[in-house]
Amino acid sequence: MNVFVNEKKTAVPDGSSVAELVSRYKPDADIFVKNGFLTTPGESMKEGDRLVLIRRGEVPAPEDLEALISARHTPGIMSKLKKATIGIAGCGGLGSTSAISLARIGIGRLIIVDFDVVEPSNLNRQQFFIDQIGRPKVEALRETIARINPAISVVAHAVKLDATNIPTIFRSVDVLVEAFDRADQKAMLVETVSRTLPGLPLILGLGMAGWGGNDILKTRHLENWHICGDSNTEAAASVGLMAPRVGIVANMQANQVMEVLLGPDPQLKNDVGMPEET
Amino acid sequence: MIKVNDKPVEYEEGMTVTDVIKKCNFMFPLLIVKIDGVYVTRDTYNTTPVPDACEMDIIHLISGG
Repeated sequence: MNVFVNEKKTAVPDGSSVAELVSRYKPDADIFVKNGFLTTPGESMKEGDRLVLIRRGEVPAPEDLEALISARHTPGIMSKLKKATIGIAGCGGLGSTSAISLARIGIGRLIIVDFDVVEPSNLNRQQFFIDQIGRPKVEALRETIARINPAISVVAHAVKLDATNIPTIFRSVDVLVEAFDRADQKAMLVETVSRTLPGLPLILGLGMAGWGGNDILKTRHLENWHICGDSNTEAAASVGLMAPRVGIVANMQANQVMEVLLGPDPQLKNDVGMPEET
Repeated sequence: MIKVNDKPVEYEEGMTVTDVIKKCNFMFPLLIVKIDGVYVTRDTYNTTPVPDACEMDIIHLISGG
């Protein structure tokens, strides 16, 4: 039968156990992941199963990195994510956070755009570090993404987005993430996308100031536009922007990107009732 | 009758997007407006007719990110 060992198609005897494949392909492995889930040596393998073998603490060879990073992914989605190009308009609290999540899941190409440099007030919610203060945000973010997964292709534009350059810069993206801070910039983006990139899936972040209120954070779906947040709480004097709530909305946006690319996850369970009797 | 953000709003003959925005008391200057899923650009709010029985989405664009 054929199985995948560290994402390489491998012919093995029918009914091979995890232990047999460990001793043959990576005897020093101490983490075994079968079909995205931690498994034990006594488990047997079936046709088409995916087994990832990891030695705890060992930095893998570059050619094995991608398979090992995605070991806990749901099987079969990696190749689709790798083919995708996602645009990120703005690299502040929403953009830097969603870009990093999209890099972690192995999105093939990210087009990140922001004209600004890192400054100290960004650090309460944006994915930057003290030693990056003063550097262009897109350069700092590209550096951080390369530290997570060097296989991700990052196209960085340190420019201010406007109605003229948006259609050019984001021409080739499969999904666009709106990640601006200011309402007038969000308005400029939706006007420009509606005129010049009609049909492009667009994911907006709207209403993530303050704290708490987890249960009012939602996603509203308007055809191919998706609006993540509470849609009401505006950043203003006495209403701050802080990592937890901004980060949740940024990850709602990244999560919506996955749903646009892959369709709804058929395995999600929405039933919080009692366990079924067996 | 039309629907705005899933809530019923009385239809008036000849009403435009601007009329609906006023009628529903949307105060913010920056909005996303869609009629039956089609985006309405800001410069046409005064001239875009709202058909009876349509479904509209009107969303405030607010700062934060």
